[in-house]
Amino acid sequence: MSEPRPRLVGEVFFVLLLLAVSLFLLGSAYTISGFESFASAGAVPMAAAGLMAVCALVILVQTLRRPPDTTEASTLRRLMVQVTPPALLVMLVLIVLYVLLLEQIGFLLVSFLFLLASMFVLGSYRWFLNLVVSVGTLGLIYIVFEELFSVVLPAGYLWQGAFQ
Amino acid sequence: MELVHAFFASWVDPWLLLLAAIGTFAGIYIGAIPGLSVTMAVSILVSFTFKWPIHDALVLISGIFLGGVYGGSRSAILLNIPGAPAAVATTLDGYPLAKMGLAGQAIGLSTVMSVIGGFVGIAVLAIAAPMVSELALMFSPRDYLLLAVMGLLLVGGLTGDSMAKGVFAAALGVLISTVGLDPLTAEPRLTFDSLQLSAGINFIAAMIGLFGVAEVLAQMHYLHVKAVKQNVTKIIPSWALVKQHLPLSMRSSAIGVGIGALPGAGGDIAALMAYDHARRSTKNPSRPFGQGAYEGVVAPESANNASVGGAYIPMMTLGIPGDAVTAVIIGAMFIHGLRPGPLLMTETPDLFWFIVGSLVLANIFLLIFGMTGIRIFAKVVETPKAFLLPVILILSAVGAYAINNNPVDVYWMLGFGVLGYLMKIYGFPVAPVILGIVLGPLLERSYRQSILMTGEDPVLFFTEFFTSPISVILLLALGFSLLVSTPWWKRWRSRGK
Repeated sequence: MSEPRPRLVGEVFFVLLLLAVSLFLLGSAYTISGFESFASAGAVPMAAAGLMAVCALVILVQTLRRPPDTTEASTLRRLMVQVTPPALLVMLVLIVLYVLLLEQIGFLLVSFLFLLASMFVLGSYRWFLNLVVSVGTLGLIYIVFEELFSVVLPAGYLWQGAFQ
Repeated sequence: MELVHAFFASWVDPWLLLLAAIGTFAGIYIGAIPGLSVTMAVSILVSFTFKWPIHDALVLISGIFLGGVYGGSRSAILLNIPGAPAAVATTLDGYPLAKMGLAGQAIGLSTVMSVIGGFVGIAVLAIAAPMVSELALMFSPRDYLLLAVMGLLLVGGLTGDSMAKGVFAAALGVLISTVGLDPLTAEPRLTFDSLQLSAGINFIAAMIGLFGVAEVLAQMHYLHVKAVKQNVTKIIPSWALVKQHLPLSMRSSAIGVGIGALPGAGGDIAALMAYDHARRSTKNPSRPFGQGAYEGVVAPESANNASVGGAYIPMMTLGIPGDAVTAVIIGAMFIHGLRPGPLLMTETPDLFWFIVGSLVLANIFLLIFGMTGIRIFAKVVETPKAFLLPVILILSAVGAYAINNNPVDVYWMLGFGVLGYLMKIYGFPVAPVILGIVLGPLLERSYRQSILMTGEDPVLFFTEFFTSPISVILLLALGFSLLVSTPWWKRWRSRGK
C-alpha cells in the first residue's frame, strides 16, 4: 500500500460544503412531490440528492482518515500553493470582468483587453508580441465565427447608435 | 446500394473531405497540446456547429475524436507529458525511447498502430452495431435503466481515487439534468422560482465550464513546467518492425474495442489495460518495459484508437455514451434533433453508415498527418501557455454565449468552471458529471416508465428484473462491474503477487 495522500488545505471544508449542499438539495427535492408515489416528479431528484449526501458522508470519513498536512508553512501559504495560486485568482477576476462586460462593451474590444491583460498575468512580458498575438487571434476568431459558424458575437450596447 | 452511397458520402464531397482533413489535423494538435482535450474541443465546437447541417458537424467531430486520441501520444513521447488521458500509458515506454534518440521510430510506430487499432475499432463498430441495435429493439425500459446505471457506476468507479467521489459526481450530474420543468407532469423542479432555472441548466454551458474553464484554471499550476526538446529522425517504421508487433497490436485492439464499448469506460482505461496485457503476455520485449520497449507503445496506442470505434457502439445503438467524448457527441446529436438509439439505427441506417465512412476517412488522414509535419508539430506544442490559455477562455465564453445568445449561459459556464476546478483539485473526477447530465433524462424516463408499468408496486418492480433474459444478463454485468470496482476484488486479483 502506498502512503495515503495528506489532506489538502480546505479539503475538509469543501467536502462539508458538498454535504451541506447535498442535504439542502435533498430537502428541496422533497418539496417537489414528497413521498407521493414511486414515479413522482420528485423521485429521481430525491434519489440523486440522497445518493450525493450519502457519498459526501463517505468522502468526509475517507478525508478525515487521511493524515493532515504536517508541513511547516502557514495555512495561507499552503492555500496559495495548493488551491489558489495568485495568478489563478487574478485570472478569475479577469474572467468575471470579461463575462460581465462582454455584452456592454462588445466582443472585440473586451476580448482584446482580456487577452492583453491575461497574457501579462500569465508571464508573457513582451508587449509587442502580445499585441500581435492578440490582434492576430482575435481577427482569426472573428472571421471564423462570424463567417464560418455564423455566430453573432455581441457588438456591445454601449456603442449602439454611436457609429450610425 | 444506398448504404454504400452513404458510406462514401464524405469521401466524394470536397467540402466534407476538407472537414474530415481539418478535423483530424486539428484533433492531433488538440490531443497533443497538454491542457487541450478532445472533450474540451468538442464541447466548445458543439456550441458553434449546431447551426450546421448534421453531416458536416459529424465529420468534423469524428476527425477530431480520432485525431485527438492519437495526438496525445506525440507529447507523451516527445515531452513525457501525456497530451490526453488516453496517452498516460504511452509515456511509460515512449519517453525512454525518445531519450535514446528513437523518438521518430516511436512516433512512426505509434502512428501505424493507432491506425491499425482505429480500423479494428471501426470494423467492429460496422459489424456489431447493426446487430446490437436489432437486439436493443427488444430492450424494455428497465433494461435501459440498468444500462444507464451501469454507465454511471463504471465511469464513477473506474476514474478518480475513490468510488464515492465518482458516484457523487455522477449523482450530481443526474440531479442537474432534472432541474427545470418535469417532462411528464410539467411540475417545476429545483427551480427556486427562477424563470431561468425553469428552462433547465444548459448542459453545453456546463460541459464547456467543466472541461474548458476548469482545465484552464487547473493549468495555472503548471505555468512554469518546461518541456525538454527531442530530436526527431526517421519516422516511417520498417515493415519488419510493424509485422513483428502486429499480433500484439491486434490483441490490444480487441481489448480497446471491448473496453470502449462498455458504457462509461473509454480510451484511457483501454490503454492502461492493454499496457498491462502487453507486460504480462510479452515474454521477450525489445527492451525491458519502462525502459523503452516498443511493445509498451504498440499496446496502448492500438487500444486507445480502437476504443473510439467501440465507444460509438453503445452511443449509436442505445443512446448511451461510451465515455466523456461520446457523451458530448450525444449532446451534439440531441441539438441537431437526433435521438441516438436503436430507432435511429434502424430508421436512418444511412446516417450510421455515413458515420462509419467518415471514421474510416479520418483514420486514413490520421496515417497521412501522423507521418508528416513533425517539425512544425514540435513548434506548435511549445506554444506558450500565456497565449494558449487566454484564447481557450475566450473560445469557451463565446461558445457558451453562442448557444442561445444568452449571457446567463456564460455565467453557468463560469460557475461550472470553478466547481470543476475545485473538484479536480480535491480529487473528484469531472467526467461522471457530464455522463450524469447526458444519461439523467434516459435514466429517469426508463425508471418511471418501468415502475409505472408495474402499477407502482416496488416489489413487482424488483422481481420484474428477473423475468427476461436480457434484464438478467444486464443485471449480472452490472453486478460484476460493481464487484470489479470494490477493494475486495483488487485484493483478490493481486493475491500472491
